[in-house]
Amino acid sequence: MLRRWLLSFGIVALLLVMQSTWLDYVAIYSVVPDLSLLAVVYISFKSPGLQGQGVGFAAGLLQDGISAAPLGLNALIKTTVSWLANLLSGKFYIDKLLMPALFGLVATLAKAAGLALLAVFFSGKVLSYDLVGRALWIEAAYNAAVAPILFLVLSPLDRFLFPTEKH
Amino acid sequence: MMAISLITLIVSTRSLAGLPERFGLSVLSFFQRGFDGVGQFVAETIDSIAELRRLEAEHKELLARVESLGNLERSYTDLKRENDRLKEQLGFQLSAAYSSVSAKIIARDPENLYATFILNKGASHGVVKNQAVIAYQDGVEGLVGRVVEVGRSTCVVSPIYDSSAFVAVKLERSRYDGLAVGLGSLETPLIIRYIKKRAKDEIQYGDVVVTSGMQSLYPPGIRIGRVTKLRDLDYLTSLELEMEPIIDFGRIEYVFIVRAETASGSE
Repeated sequence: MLRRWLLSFGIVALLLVMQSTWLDYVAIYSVVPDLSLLAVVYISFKSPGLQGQGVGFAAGLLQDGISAAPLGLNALIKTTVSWLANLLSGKFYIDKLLMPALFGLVATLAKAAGLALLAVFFSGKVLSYDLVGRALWIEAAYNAAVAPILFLVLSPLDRFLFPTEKH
Repeated sequence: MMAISLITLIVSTRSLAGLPERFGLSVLSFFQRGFDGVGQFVAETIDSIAELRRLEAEHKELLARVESLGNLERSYTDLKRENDRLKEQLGFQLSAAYSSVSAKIIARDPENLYATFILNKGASHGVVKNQAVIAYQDGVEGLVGRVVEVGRSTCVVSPIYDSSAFVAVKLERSRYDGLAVGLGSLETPLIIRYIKKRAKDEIQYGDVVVTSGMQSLYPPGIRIGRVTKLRDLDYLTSLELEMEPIIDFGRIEYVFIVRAETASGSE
């Protein structure tokens, strides 16, 4: 179990580093896709247990370390989004295009909603998306576009990331 | 885990945290430096194909220039000697107003809501929190932002367009003071507030805005931007100006962290 958790965390951490370096080359109006969030959603949906939430929490803390966001913010957001994704685990069939795109879109909107809620309680400390601003919608569209590709790239690693089903 | 996250958030927003962030920054920045290096190598390799053609044409042009420069070199030595003598007579200080350390941007904030970026210089290079960061672009020195977090070999910089940035400014020509605030996005201009209403007739579009030095964070006289719009709203007691940064943040790679004012600069 520990190996699966560590590998999941390693993948999310790797995507996080890519997000802050390489993706800058493909940014649209300075907006880059949130690969780490998409990976956390993928792991949470595919894993029946707490793996996704644990990885989301740890990756969120790591992200807080290199971000201007207050410590704990991304940990909370990623844990919450992964919990939501875990609730849907096993309830949908994931195809190669539509469902991953939908997951990417909904995960971004869930993140934005979470940030908006936290911004009410931590006014001035937590930034939230402007609902009519382009950053949110570019990120949502970008995540929706990238999610099918990322899910496809991660799918061969399923046997290393998740426990095999026993019949 | 949600409870732990929430508690951490509560503690960190009250500024009681900091050590875990610095630790995380130091650890992850090691990988960010590696990724930045690889990314740059790939980008440079792709660029080099087009660059090769351009260089060939330039090479021919430069050969012709070498010949003419040979002649200029002889007269340059004489002029330099004369210039040194004149500087001595004028008591001109050769040293800059402040010392600085150069740094490279290795990563951006992974979260789209925040505009910070990470530099490859940290505490081991003498960088401390709240130092000003400047850049040179097209021969012009401009303010970039300030250091907000320092790791062992990296630091986090908050740019002037970040929504948490406040800079005490002065209009270079008319000398009116104001406060520049960022709106959090590279695409939106900076807003200058608290400019006296009587300055309205003296302000022109394109006026250069510089740091006033009233804030101890930024040395005085560093260029920040140019005035692009003036708003005189009835319900405000002061003018509101829009300013376009003098630095094109989309293409900065190297910056300078201002360490301290030299004796000549502080005089």
